Amino acid sequence: MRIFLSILLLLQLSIHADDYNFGKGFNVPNTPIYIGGYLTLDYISRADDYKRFRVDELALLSYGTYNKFSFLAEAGFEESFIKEWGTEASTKTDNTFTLSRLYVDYKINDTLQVRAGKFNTPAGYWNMEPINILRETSSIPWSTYLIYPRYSTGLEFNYANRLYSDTTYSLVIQETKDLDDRYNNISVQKHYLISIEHFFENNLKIKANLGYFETLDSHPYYYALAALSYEAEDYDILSEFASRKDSNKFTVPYSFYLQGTWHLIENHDLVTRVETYKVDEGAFREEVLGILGYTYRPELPFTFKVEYRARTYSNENQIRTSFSLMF
Amino acid sequence: MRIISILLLFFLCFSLDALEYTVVSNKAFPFKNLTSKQLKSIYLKKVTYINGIEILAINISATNKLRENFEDKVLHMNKRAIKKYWFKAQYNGVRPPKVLKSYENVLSYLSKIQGAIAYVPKEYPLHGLNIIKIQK
Repeated sequence: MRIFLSILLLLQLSIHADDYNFGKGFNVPNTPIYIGGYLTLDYISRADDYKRFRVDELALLSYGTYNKFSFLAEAGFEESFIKEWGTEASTKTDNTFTLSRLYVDYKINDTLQVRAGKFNTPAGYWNMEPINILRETSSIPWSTYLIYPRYSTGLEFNYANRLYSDTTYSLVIQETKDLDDRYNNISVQKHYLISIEHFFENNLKIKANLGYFETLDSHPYYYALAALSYEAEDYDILSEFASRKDSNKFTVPYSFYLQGTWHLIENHDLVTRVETYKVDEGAFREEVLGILGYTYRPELPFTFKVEYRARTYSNENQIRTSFSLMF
Repeated sequence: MRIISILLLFFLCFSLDALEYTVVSNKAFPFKNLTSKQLKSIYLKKVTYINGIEILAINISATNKLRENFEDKVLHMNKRAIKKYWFKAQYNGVRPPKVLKSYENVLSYLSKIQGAIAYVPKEYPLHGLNIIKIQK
């Protein structure tokens, strides 16, 4: 409750500030610093009679640029309130404050930038826009969980000469544990990643990633990922294919999704996604998922989404709705 | 009928003229010529430094017709795509270009700030500024 009151207080203060536009953050007067945040509520109803309401994301975001330096900090509460019905009925609250991102950027020259801290691993496209309000669906493709650590703690070098070249390069070097591994899907002690991205005319871009990481028990994994994003007037296409292996065998032989977002009329989108993956869980498990969703994005900075997800592996077919807001 | 046609032509010419723009910058801006693609990279903040000078793209108010025309011709993105782009950029700590309310403010800003670049109506009087030639 205190969290909500704090947010409301911030919004109340913001409304009276000249430098605030709803959804675009609050400019701390006489500084280059901005403060904003986001909130996501979601509700699922599964075929096996399980139902869940959740305060999924509640975070504050602060960032700013001063000369060749910039910074970003993102921290908040993940799954701070969960109410479940059905065979697993319960109510849980979690006030653990987690740090999802904290980094400083420095522009070494016109084309080279170094980032230090904890940041989104620049693998694929989905992982670069992980919060609900930026995504097209409430659910997340399995491939973004199965293959690589979604956050990295260390250094990231970016080379981009966008005046003369349509190709950009990134290198991630992590030689330490995660800054806060409660907010990461895989706990690692080492992570290296090479990323190459090429931009074509007409809003088509492709990306290739090669990575290596070691879990806390020093188990090594190698992964490769290819991604494509295309934005047309009436639809967007997003697709990723990835694979992961350890020293002996493929632990995720394949993971793939293809998503289409169809702009039906202004602010109303239809989303379709097909996913498939094969993962080693002692024995191999294969699954195909289909998602049919609707997203409403009005002029104001919030989204309402509803989707139906069908799975071949379990009886966890579900309807999922979410409301997300940026402030 | 002839008078109506002439009037229509006049208004059409006038409205087209009002949508034509000149890209203009501070005298210290490192280029005299830019391609449309380079200008797009600057306006999407994919290019923020040239020859060590910080590049600051300026926009006029969101409802301005000239801005709509500029964004259509240079960015090749509709309003939905632009909005989505800046939402995502904001999540990564990148703000959209600075918005100024009038062309007088734009010209004043351009004359003072090294690396500033903007667009103004074609007929606008420009003194002491660098006119950027846009190549395809």
